[in-house]
Amino acid sequence: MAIFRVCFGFMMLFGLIRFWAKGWIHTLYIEPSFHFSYYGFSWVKDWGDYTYLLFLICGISALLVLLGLFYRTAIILFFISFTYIELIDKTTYLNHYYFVSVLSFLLCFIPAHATFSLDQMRSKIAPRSIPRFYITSIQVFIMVVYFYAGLAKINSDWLLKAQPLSIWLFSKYDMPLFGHYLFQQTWMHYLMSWGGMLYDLTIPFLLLSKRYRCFAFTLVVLFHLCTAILFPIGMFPYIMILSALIFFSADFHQKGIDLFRMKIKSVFLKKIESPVNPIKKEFHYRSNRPAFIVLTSVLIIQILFPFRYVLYPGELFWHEQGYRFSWRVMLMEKRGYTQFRIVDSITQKQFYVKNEDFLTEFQEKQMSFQPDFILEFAHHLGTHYTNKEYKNVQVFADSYVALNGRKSQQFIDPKINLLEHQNGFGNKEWILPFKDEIKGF
Amino acid sequence: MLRKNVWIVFTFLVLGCQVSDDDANLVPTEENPIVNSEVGTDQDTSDSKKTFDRQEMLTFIVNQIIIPSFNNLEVNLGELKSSFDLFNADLTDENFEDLRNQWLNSYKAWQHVEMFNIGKAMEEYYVFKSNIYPVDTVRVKSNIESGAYDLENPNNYSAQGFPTIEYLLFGPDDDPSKGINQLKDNIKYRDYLKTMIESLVSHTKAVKEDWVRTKEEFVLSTENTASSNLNMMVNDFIYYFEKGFRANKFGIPAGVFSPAALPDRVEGYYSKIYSKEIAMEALSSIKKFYNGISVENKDVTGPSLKSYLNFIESGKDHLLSDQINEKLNVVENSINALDQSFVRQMDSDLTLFLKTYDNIQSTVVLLKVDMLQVLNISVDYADADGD
Repeated sequence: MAIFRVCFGFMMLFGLIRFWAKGWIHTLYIEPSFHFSYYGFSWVKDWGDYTYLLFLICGISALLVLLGLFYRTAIILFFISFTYIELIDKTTYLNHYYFVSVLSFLLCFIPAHATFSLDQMRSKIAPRSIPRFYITSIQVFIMVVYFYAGLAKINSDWLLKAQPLSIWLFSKYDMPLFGHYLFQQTWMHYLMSWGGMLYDLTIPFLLLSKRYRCFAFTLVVLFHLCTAILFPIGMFPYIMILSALIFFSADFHQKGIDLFRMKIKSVFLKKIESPVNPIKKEFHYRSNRPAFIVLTSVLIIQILFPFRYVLYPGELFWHEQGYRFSWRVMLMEKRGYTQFRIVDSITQKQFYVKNEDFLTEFQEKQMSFQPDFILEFAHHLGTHYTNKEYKNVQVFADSYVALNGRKSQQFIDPKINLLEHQNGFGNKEWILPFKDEIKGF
Repeated sequence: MLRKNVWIVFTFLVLGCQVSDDDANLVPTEENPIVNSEVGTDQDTSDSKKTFDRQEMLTFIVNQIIIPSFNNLEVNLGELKSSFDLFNADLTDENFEDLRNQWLNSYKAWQHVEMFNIGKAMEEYYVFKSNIYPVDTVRVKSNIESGAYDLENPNNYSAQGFPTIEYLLFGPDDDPSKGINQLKDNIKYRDYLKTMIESLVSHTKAVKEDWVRTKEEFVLSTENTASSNLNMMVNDFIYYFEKGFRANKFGIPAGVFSPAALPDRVEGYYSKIYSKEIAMEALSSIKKFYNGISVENKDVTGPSLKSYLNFIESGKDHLLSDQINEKLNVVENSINALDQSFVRQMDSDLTLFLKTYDNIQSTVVLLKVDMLQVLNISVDYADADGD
C-alpha cells in the first residue's frame, strides 16, 4: 500500500507538472469563453487566472500524498481539487482522469500512510499492517477497469472489422521499424484487436494469481508501453503500470522499501532512524465499518454503472448515452461536422453560426459528434442571441458524423428546435437513428 | 482454475489468428491489376499499388501544381505591370481596357495559389495581403490622400491586393466611368495602383522563390503529425475549400452567416460580371489539386488525394474519392447555372445561389469528415491527450 501511495503521488505530481508545462491550463481551461459542463455540475467554473492556483493546490496535495505527510487532509484535498478541475469542462474528459478521481476517492478512506511515510515517522506508534480489505478494494477496482474495457471490446466493429485500430494503425506509416510494413497489414490490425481484447479480459485474473503474477506484470508493462508509443494517450499507460503494483504481496513491497532505505543509507553514509523503532509499539489498523461500507458501495456502483447504456434504445457508439464513465477506451474513431442555424420562428429568417466565434478548435472537434455537447452549445447560442435581442430564437443543428470507417450520415434531426429539449438522463430522441448495426457489449 | 484460464486465452489466440488469416485475403492484391504508376500515365490504374508513396504525391503537387501555378501568376502579374506602365505613359481608353483585362487574367491566376497558405506564404500573410474583400474603400481613399501608409499593418490588408486594384480600376459601383477619370486625373491614384501591383509582384516572387528553394526538403515531411507538410497541406486545402471558397465566395454574400444577404461581399464586386468566372477558376484549381492534374498540361496526372484515398479504400464499393468527384461536379453544374454577376443572381433568385452554397457545404462534409477519417488526419492542431 505504501509503495502504491508513493507511486500514485508521484504520477499525479508528474502529470500535473506536465499539464502545466504544456500550457494546457491556459488553452483548455482559461482560454475558452464557454465550457461544456457535466449535467448537474454547471456550477463548476474555471477560476480565470486563479485556475493556476487550483492546479497548485492539487500539485501540493499530490506531493504530500507522495511523502505521506498530513495524508488524510492531502488526499481529500487532492480528490476534491482534481475532480473539480475535471468537472470544469467535459471536453477534456478522459477515462484515466476518471480513474484517478475514483482511485483518489477510495484512497480517502484508506490509511495508506501506515508505513513508509512522514506521518508515521512523526507519530509514536508504528502501524505495520492495514486490513486486507483496503488493498482488495483497490485491486477489485482495477480489475473492474480492465475487465470492462475488455468486455466493451467484444463488439462486431472491434473484432470482426478490426475498427478503429485499422484506421489508426494504418496511419502510423511513419513509425520506425513497424510502421512501414507491419502496421499496413490487415492481419496485424486483427491480431492487435483480438490481443487487446484478450489482454483486458484476462490480465486482472493473471495479476491476481500468485503463479502468473510476474508474467502478468511483464505483460502489463509491455502492453502499456506499446500503447504509449502508438497513441497520444498521455499519462494513462504509466498510471496503469504503476497501479498494477498493488497486486504484489506485502513482502514484495517491504523488500522494495528496505532496498530504498539501504540506498538512502549508502548515499548519505549516515544512520537513518530504523523503520521499526523499538519504542513504538506494534499496531494493527482495525477495520473501520463506515469505510468498509463506502468502499463496498463504490465498487458495487462501479460494477453496475457501465451497464446503464442498456436503458437507452439505439446504438451506444452513435448516441453515446451511457458511454462515458464506463471504461470504454479507444473504441471509436468518430468525427463530425456540426453547424447551427439560428432561426426566427415568426419571420423564418435564418443564419448559420460560426462555431469558432465561441469555441476553441479542440472544443469544436469534440462538440461535433457528441449529442450532449451539441445540445448544450445550442442552448448557449440560444441564450446568446436572445440576449443580443434577436427575436423568437430557435436553434437547429445540421450535423454529420462518421463512425469507425463508415461513411458520414446525418446525426441530428435538422427539423428539431434544440431549445425545446433539455439535457438530462432521458433518451435524446432528436438523434437520428444509426443506419448500421454494431453487435456486442 | 488458472490453468483453465490459460487454456481459454490460448484458444482465443488461435481463433484470433485464424480470423485474421481469413481476413488477410480481403487485402486486394490480385483482384486489381497492378500497373506501375508514373507521372504521365493514367493514374486510375495505380490505385492498387501495395504502398502509397506520399513523398511522390508531395513532389507531384509541388512540381506540377504549385510551382507552375506561381510561375503562371508571376507571368500574369508581370503583364499587369507592363499594362500599367503603358497606361501610365499614355492615358488612353484602349490602354485602360487592356489594364483591366490584365487584372482579370492575373486574378484568375491567383485563384490557383490561394489554397497554398503554407510556409513563406503563411509567414508573410501573403493571402491576406492579396485577396481580402470587401475592400475598405474609406481606408484606400485615406491612404491615397495621405500617401503615408504601412501595407504590413493588418488594418491595411483590406486596402491592398487584387480587390483594391479592382476597386481602383472599376471604380465605385454607382459610376463606372469614375474609375478611369480618377486614374487619369489624379496621379495619387495611379501611384497607389502602381504600389499595389508592385507589392503583389514582389510578394509573389518571394513566395515562389521560397518554394523553388525549399521544395526538396518540403516533400520529405510526410509523417502523420500536426506539423508535417503533408498534413498541413491537406488541412490547408480543406480550410481553403471551407473558408476561401465556400464561405467567402458564396456563404457570406448569400447571408448564410448573417440575418440578411450581403451582396457587397461578393468577390469581383466592382467589376460586376466576373464573379462566376473567378469562382469557376477557383473550382478548377480545387479539382486539379484533388485529382492530381498538372497545371501545365492537363493530360499529365500524378498521385493526389484521390489516388491516396483509392489506395486506402482499395477493394471497397462506392469509393469515397468518386463520391467527392461527383459532388464537385454537382457544385460545378450549379455554379454554371448562375448569372455571371453574383450580385445580379442574388437579386433575381437568391434561392438558386443558396442551393449552390448547400452543394458546396455537403462537399465540405465529405472532405472534412469522411476523407479525414480515412486518412486519419487530425482536423485541429490542439495539443491534448486522447484516450
